[in-house]
Amino acid sequence: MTEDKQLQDELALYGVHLTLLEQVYNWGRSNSLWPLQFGLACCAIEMIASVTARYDLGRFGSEIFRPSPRQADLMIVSGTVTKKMAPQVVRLYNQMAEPKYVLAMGACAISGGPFKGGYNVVKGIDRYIPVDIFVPGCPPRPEALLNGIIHLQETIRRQKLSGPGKARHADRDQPSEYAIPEEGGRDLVPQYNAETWRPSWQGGGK
Amino acid sequence: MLDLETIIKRVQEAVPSCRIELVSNESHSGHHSLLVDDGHAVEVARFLRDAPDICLDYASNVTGIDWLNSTVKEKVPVTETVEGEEKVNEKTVEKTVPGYLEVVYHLYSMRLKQGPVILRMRTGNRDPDVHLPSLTPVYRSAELQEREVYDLFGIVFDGHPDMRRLLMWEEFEDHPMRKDYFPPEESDESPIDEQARPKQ
Amino acid sequence: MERMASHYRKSGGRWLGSGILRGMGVTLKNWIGSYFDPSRLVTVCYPGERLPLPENSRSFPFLIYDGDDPEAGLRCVACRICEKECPPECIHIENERDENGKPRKRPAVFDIDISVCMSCQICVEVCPFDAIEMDQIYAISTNARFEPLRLHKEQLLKPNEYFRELSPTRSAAADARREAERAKQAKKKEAGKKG
Repeated sequence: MTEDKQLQDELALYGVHLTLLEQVYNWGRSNSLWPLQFGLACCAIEMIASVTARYDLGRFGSEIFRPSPRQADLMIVSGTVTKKMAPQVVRLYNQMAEPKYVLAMGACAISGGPFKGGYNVVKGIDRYIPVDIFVPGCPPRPEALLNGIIHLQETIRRQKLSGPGKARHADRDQPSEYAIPEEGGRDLVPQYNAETWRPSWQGGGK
Repeated sequence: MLDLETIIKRVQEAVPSCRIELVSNESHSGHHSLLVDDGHAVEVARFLRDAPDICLDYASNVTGIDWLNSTVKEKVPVTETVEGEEKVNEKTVEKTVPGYLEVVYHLYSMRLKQGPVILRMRTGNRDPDVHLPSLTPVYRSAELQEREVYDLFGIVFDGHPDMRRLLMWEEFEDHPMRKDYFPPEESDESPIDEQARPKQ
Repeated sequence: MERMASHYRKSGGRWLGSGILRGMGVTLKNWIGSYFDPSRLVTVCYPGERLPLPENSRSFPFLIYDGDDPEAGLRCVACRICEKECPPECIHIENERDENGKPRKRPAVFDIDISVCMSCQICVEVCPFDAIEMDQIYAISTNARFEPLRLHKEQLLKPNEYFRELSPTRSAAADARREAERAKQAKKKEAGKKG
């Protein structure tokens, strides 16, 4: 689990306790993800369908979708993010309290999807906010969204809270709030948040 | 009753100074339209709404069309003198038809359950700042749709109670549905992203 | 009291709140009934239980190969019709070329960007060789944005048997079409030999 000798020694002082605490902490967080009531377009309908009785997102702890970002810890960006809506999405993300996660659901939220060449479409919300899980599909089935949530739960359980490779919310050097894009004359300014995102052929992507 | 020829006659009786003509539609739907001049469009619309037997009281759709400058090849008879003889030949001449912007209204009658009657208005040219009269005082449902046409084509509707953009934000400068719109360049666009751009 | 009386009068005999109680009654009936009647338990507990998908449900395309060797049995000849017809342009194909630069009838690169694909199935409809078909996989969420969502040729190749299991009707139709085409080509060859 730990590769650094110094860290191992440090952990030996309180080692067993820290590991157990981390696991319990991560288990509690992953099994009670409260999503934000946030649906933009057609993928929102599939998200609603995943909350209905047949697929039941409530089994995974996401029983209540919170209307306020202050109370939510998962933002499922479901649907096309238009350039007019993008500043509001980033604002809502900034208002969520740490630890917070973003799930980009559907082709439009990941990359602009079928509307990539459009005049009012952001080519993927990960240009402005950090996204943890991408669920492709147009729209993804409710089971695909459930699979995405399960994947997110596994990601959370693997997160470390100290040492190298610790989670984004535990790292004081990582930002908690991201720059809100402004509406310029022809496009959003900036076109992407250069501090956190690069196009793929410039080495972007985790 | 909704025979377009009859409607044209009735309109010309009611609004004598207007210029109204039939624009035929060769396609499958056969939805011919009436081209009205901008000076009298509001009066014509009001007549069409208020005449009890026409009663077109619902504007269901307002849309814009951008016609670019186009060149038309025409065969023109030209008299030429060849070896002392006068011959009439046909020469192919290219003419530029200036472009314009157009607004199209689809009008239905809710009370008489008839329709559609299609109204068109044309601007003189494709300048960045073109004006047309608004039919919102006559048809309330045209209010938001004319805002959309203004946003996407740049046609300013005079007489509209709230003339501002609908889909794009206020500071946006372009009119995206004009045929000469090109999307903003990505600062470092890759070949794959460029593929996804609409072809100009 | 006044309000309840006026509500009773105006609604023609319904007490205030009776609608809510009736709805709650339905929920209670379903809950108690679920202990006796299993059909009232409608939840399909993913990931343990899966809902069987209808035959024509589709998610992303895949390439078909005949036989056992994916490279040898590949049906795609890199005609690039699917690349041109794809509305969001998510397919990227490059022809394999031999030493002289002449294109071989095989794709060297066949990438589908599933972060863009909208599952419209147009690529399947236009393929003249029945080389590309729609798959039903949906459990493909990823952590990273670019590379895992760009499926390459090796990840897209699946055998014809897989397609037969997935969709018996469509694979039977495709097999019949290919058989007819093969018979036609054989007849032409026979006629050519004789003549």
